[in-house]
Amino acid sequence: MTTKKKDAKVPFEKSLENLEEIVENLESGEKGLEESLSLFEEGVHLSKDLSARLDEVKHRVEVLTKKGKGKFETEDLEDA
Amino acid sequence: MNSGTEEQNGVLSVTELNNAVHALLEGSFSDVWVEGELSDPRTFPSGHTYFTLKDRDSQISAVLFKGNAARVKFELEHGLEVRARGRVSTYIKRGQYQLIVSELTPRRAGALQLAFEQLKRKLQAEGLFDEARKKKLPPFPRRIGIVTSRSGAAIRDMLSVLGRRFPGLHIRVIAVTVQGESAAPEIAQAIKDFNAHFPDTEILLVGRGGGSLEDLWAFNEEIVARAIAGSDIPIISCVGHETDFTIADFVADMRAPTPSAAAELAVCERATLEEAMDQLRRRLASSVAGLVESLEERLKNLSRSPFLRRPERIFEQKAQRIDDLSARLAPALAHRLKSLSERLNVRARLHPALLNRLRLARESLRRNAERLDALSPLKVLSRGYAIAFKGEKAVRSAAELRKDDELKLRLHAGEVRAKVI
Repeated sequence: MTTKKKDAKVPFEKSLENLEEIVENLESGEKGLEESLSLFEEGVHLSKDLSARLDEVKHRVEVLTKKGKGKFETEDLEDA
Repeated sequence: MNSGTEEQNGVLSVTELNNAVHALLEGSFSDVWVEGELSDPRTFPSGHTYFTLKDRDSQISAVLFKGNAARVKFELEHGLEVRARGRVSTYIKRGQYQLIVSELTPRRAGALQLAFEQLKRKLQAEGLFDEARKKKLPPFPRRIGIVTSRSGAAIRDMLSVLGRRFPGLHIRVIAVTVQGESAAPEIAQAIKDFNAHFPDTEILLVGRGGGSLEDLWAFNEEIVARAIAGSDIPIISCVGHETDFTIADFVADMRAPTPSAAAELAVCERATLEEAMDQLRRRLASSVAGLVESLEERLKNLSRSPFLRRPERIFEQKAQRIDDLSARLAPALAHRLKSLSERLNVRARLHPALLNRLRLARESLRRNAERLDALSPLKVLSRGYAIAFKGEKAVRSAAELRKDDELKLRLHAGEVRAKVI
């Protein structure tokens, strides 16, 4: 599934921290124009990625029942 | 007993005597309660435990067989004051007798209370409760595991709090029995199963709703404590009500007072997170806009200086002097001076180059700002929605409108005027 791909990604909280850092960096006003613009571009990219990641998991509840060694039957549960 | 008249007949063999004592003792003490101090317990690989019961003046050997030992929740500690129920049995081969214990309770505290204190002491000494070995909870978990009973309020509470706080979670539940003999092994196994088969689970909630000390007992069992300690996935325990503390709570990476509270501790509110992200976006855009603005301002000020208005003037004079000199110098030297003059001309062109760089920067900013805008609520319009304005205000309810009111409809592309009929 997508699990492997996700594991390779930077964790959500790390991306969020990066975005915060970029904003603070830009707000400090210490960076030159070129560097500011490339930070800005990175920030826009991070922010889009974070939004996309919030939507990538569909809300679902599964009840797992063990069927033999290491095998589980999955049953979707209506969200209470 | 046999009181044979003939001396020969009155003599018993050792076996006969022991058999007779056996019959007498086991007949008379088939179910007794006895209290005393437990001394020198030894448990054999068979699972049977041998010990001595004694008081100040006397003692008796006792044995607790494996089958009965399973029902005794506390550890048999040397020096413990106990009450034992059992029967007296003889070991004919050696002519000894002992107490076969079927039930054992501590004299001073309840059996469960004592078991709790003993296990707590033991695990604490092993360092299982140390803060240093507790795992940090992930700040934004999306894959949540739950170990609890399928029925009951606990699961309902957890699912509803999780769903309300953060729509967009993948929640997996392994349903277990939470009271009775099979509960502890089932809970321990479920924790191991999550680790072995669903290691992408980011946080585990383990618990149940309120009940008596007996009802909650599974969470005081060593097997559960060890499973929690051995879990790679961080665990929040939530057993019973606020005032209930179990061994599981001490070992878990975090204790929640109730199942609902565990769900609240596990995930943040999605709305709060999104608000924080929106704010970062706004700051991102305005910080760069501010930078460009201040650079423009500086450039404008610089352009007002006479030097930059007509930079060629400065060079004109120098160029003239060079021409002058070059006419008087050898041609080779004149050539060198000519190239110097060209370099000076390049410097005169610097001003337009700076303006050009700034123009490019502004374009890049505009492009990126458009991308940022794609995240704004206005993008909803592109899906066919419209915002109705009456004057400057967006209309939220039909009650705000009267017949003949003029409206402005903002569509994804363009605006139209409309009238209420």
